Amino acid sequence: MATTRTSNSATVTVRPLDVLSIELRGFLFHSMLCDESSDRSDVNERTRVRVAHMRPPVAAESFRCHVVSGIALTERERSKIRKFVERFRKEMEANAKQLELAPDDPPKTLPSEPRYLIHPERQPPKTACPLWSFSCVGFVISAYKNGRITLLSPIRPLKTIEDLKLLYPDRADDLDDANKRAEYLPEGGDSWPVALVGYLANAFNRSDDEVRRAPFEPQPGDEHFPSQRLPSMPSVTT
Amino acid sequence: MAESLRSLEEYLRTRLPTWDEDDEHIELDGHRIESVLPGVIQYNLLLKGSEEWIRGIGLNCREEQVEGLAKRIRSMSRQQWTEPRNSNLLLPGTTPKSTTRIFLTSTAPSNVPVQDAKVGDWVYHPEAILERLENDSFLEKDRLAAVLFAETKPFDGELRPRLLKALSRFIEGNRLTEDADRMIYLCSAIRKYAMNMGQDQIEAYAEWLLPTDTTPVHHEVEMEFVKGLSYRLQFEKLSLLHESPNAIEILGDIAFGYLRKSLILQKSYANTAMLLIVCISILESRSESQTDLTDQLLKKVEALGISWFQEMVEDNLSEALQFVEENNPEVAVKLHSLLGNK
Repeated sequence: MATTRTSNSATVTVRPLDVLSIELRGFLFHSMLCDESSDRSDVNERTRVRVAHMRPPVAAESFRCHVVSGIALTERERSKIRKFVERFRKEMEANAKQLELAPDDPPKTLPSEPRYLIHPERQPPKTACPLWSFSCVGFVISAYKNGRITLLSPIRPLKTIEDLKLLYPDRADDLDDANKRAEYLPEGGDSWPVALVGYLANAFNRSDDEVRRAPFEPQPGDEHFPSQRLPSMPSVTT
Repeated sequence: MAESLRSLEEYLRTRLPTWDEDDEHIELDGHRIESVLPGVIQYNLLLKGSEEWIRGIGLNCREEQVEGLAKRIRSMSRQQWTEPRNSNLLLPGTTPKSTTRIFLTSTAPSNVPVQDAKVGDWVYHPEAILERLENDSFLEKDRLAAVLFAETKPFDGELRPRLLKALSRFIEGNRLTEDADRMIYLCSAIRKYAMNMGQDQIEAYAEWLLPTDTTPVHHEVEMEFVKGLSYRLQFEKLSLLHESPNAIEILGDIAFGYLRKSLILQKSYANTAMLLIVCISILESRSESQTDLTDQLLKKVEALGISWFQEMVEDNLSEALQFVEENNPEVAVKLHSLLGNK
């Protein structure tokens, strides 16, 4: 199926465990796993689809999507990816309950709960917070890794803090805050091979065989879909 | 455009409480406002006719005005904020309420007292959480909320043993629950306890997995117990030559029970069995005793002939070995040896 866009005028088919992305101002900025129990052929850009994703926190809910990516998963792959998601069900319920019960007006000095990351794309549980932390892309690529499908190469374009402010406009202020920045980018440094949502869309925009065989090696411009690689660079094959 | 945004800000400050909206958007001077979020006061604009999105990243209003405006927006209708009205928005405070329960299995109706939802700011303070965990005179809804919110707070120094004692009491009293809502709190307590417990507590922890003569540990709770232990063993400090015979026996018994073709495809048993094997392999690798339980379990996995499950076990064992190498290199040497020929 590769990668397709939803629209108002036509419907597309979305399958369980497809990767769904949300676009804002022409830029893909959030990725999710389809959490429907069976195929849906009625999806347009206004259709709410059940998803499992790192919102944050890890959550199961319904969202619209603008881009749909996937391959024809085998039953073996599907079983393993599904089991990965199932390991987080109780955490999703706890997160939903926390949000339901939390005070309307949290204090401005809300203690940090490092459960969202920009890079690395995942971090293991700790005593303070015994839950895996992910970026939204990290949750997706970890799930597929459990299905023995490595979606992205670890070699990716480096992004600076100024790049990240453009890529994460709703977190631009946080990125100027030293404490918040340390949460999102716990390894420190001044540039990072961040796993971006557009890379996923371009990774899936290849043949199923190629997706399975070779992790996608993003180039500058692949954060967009369709890719906006410079002409001198080889284009993404379909 | 700047003029339009100024108009929008003024509009938001003064007119939102009485806005006139259709089911998708409100309109302002040629713009369509797709959504305004409470608290952070962000908004998206779609320029009418142009298909151009403009995302506001915060109102330029004085600090003391923000909270009041957020309150006014929220007070309009809580329901309309339970989820984003536009899928472009992914920000805190817009979650579906868990009253629409999803992923809950066919368990008994909830006996958790109906709650007047919100709790106080105390949920952000570990000491206040502990107070409610330790003192039965607080309302049950607050004691349950204390369990839930404790999970993502740090409890260091002298707070940690108090937390473990309180969570232990809660787990002991609730571990056999069939109530779907109570399980959410129980599983939070289990994850927090497991990650914070000392090595000496692993033996007693394993006994929570035992059923009584009449009541089993619910399979979802059971998986959370095993998952919590697997995290503890992979990501926190361990010492070599630390025997856990009781835990190994209990975990092994459960694992062999699930390693049947008729069971492994059901419910959460595949995950539970895989996590049990991860735990047993690490516990065995710390032991001086010559046991071969991991080897027996892996042979049993192979004999099942369920290739995806075997791959899942192998991949997760391999990953566990990496994590143990990072956190407990000495244990990793023995674990590597234990898994070496597999």
